[in-house]
This record gives sequence, structure tokens and C-alpha cells, in this order.
Amino acid sequence: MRRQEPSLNQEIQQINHVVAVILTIGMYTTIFFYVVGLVLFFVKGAPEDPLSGQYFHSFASFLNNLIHLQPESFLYLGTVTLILTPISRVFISIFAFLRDRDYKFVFITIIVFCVILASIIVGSVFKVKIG
Amino acid sequence: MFLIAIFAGFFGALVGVGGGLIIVPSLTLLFHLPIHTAIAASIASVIATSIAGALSYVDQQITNVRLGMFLEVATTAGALVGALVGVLLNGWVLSLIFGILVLYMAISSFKAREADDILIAENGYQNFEPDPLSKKLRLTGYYYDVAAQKDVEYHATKSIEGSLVSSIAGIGSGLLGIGGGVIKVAAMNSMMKIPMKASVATSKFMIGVTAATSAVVYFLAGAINMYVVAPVALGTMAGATLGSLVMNRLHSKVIKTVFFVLMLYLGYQMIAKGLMMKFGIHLPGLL
Repeated sequence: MRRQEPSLNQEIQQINHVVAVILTIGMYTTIFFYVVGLVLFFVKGAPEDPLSGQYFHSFASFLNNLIHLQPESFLYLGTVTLILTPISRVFISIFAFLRDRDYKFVFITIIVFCVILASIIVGSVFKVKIG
Repeated sequence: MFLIAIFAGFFGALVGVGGGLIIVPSLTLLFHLPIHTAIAASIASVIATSIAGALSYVDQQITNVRLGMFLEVATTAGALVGALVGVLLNGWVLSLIFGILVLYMAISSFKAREADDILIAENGYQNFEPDPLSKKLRLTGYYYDVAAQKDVEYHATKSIEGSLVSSIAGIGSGLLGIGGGVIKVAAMNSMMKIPMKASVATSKFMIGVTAATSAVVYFLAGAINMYVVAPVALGTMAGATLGSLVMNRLHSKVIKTVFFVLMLYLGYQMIAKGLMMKFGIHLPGLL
């Protein structure tokens, strides 16, 4: 079986490793916060209105809720790490390609990251419905 | 809720889609949640399946990270365009166009369902001539196929056409709330001549980015219900991990047949939605 040139092969191994590390950290952090949140929810019972959807009023009240082991503050943190994982995967890949001196892909990844940021800004400003 | 999420994650990992098609209807029909809560929860859980599935596929060296990154330019740009022009176009026209497109792709992929296994058996995938862009970016790779018990090497062809079709997937996800995994897999497999399994794994890898972008918007709007997302996301993660472990053991023909059924269903849903929006015709089984 013919293999590719070693440099590309090595680069693929390295970038795969970087991606795997980020995804692993993101996944286990999310699982941790979700499991703690759900356990607290079953132990402490539901808040008055679990479907209200308001979780974040101010940073101080959020910290306060976290210290008082409010289930929703843990679930909130889990959702934050969940959403940030793929986005940080793109962001950190920029540096991984940079280290491998693969400048075409540095460029491609920067474009992807900028478009993601632009979409988030557009979506937040115009409240575009995605569903 | 947890069990349905496991099923959705398993199924999604098998064919490289997000699984929103299963999660949204089950949350609304079985748990009587409002459609907006269901969609927001679904989008967040699609990230979860993508993380778990992608992790397993990257680990198994089936995902082509470079190819994924290249096509993400098209899908993210498409999603942005879709979000921007969404107000200008009629939803029913788009739904019909998408429905017909997906049905067409379903039929052509079903006709070619044996092709993948044959190409793998005859080492055909490495003989496709890469186009200049694919050569320049070295969009090539190989993976070990457990079912065929051999390394499968491939080179991407028609990378420009493939990214155009992927941008349509992006526009669709921006406009209609479909994940677009179906279209990405079809573009990679039928156009760019990427083996089915590498297409599925790479699609799984890419979906997280699209879903995360949408999820941020829902999240900032306070539309994500934490008590729904948490169990669904945990379930889809478990299911996606299982599904991605099984996938490489199956023959491509099996994966393609499951994929065909999913495409038929999606195509039917889109056409039914379009007819409903414009003419008020309610076809049976519309969600």
C-alpha cells in the first residue's frame, strides 16, 4: 500500500491529535457539568418554574447560585462549554496549522473562524430565526 | 427522553447527520414541548453528537480534518448567506427546491449503493484524478476499513463543485433549520469521490461548527432550556459514541441504504412543508 509523503502524514497525525485533545476536554467538561447539574436537580428538586429559560441575570448572582449549588447554574456552564467546544476547535486549529507551516490551511481556518464570528453577530443583531 | 436521544445519536453517527430530524419531532410529539424549545434543544444536542462522534472518528483516523476544514469555508459562508437572504426568499419555494434536490440525490445514491464496496475492493478510490485545487491543498487521505479489512486511500476530485454544493447545505441550515449533514455526505461521496465512511466521519466533524454557530444565537436569546438540553445532550453523546464504533464494521452498502431511507424521508418532509406553506395542502406525516 502506497503511503503519502511523510510530511503530510505527520501533519495529519498532529492535527488529528490537537483536534482530539480539544474535543475530549470539551466533551468531558460538558458531561461533568451536566451530570452534576442533573444530580443536584434530583436531590434538591425542581425550581419553581423549570421551563422559564432565564438563567443569567448578572455575573454576581450567577456566582452566588453556583456557590449555593443551584442545578441550573451547572447546566448553564455545561451548555457554555458544549457550544464553545467546536468553535475553539476551529480557533486552536489555526495555531496547529501555523506550527506545521501549512499557510494555505492557516488562511482557510482563519476565514472559517471569521465567518463563524460574522454569523454569530448577524444572528444576534437581526434575531434571525433558524428553525 | 434519554433513550430517544441515545437512538438519535447512534443513528446520526452511522450516516453522518446531526439527528435533529429525530430529536425535534420526538420532543414535540412525545413530550409536548413547544416547537421553539425543541429546536433550540435539538441544535445544542447536535453539537453534542458531533463532538462525541467526531472524537471517535478522529481517534479511528477516518475523519479527514483538512477536507473538513476546507469545506467548512463553504458551509459557514453558505449559512451566513442563508441567514442574510432568508428574508428575501419565500420559504415554500426553498422547501420545494430542497425537497426535490434531496430526493434526486437519494435516488442517485441508491442506484450507486454497491459502487462504494466495489471501489474499495478494487482499490478504485485512489485512481480518481485530483483536480488542481485539491492537489494544491493536498485533499487526500486514507483510512482502515474494518469491514473490508484494508486501507482505503482516496484523493478528492471536483473540489470546487463539491464546495458549491456544500455551501447549499450551509444555506439550507441557515434558512430551514436542517443540519445539512445529508447534503454534505452526498457532496463528498458522489461528487468529490470520497469513500462513504470518510464522508460520514468528516460530515460528523463539520456539523458541530454549523450547529454551534446557530446555538450561540439561541443561547444569547435565552431560548435554550437547560433541563431539556442536559439529558438530550448526554443521551446523544452516548448514542453517537456507540454508533461511531459500529459504523466502520458495516459495509458501505448498509450505511448507504440507511442513508437512502433518511433522504427519502427528509425530501418528503421538505416537499410537504412547501406545499403546506403555499397551498395549505396537508400531506400525511408532516411534522
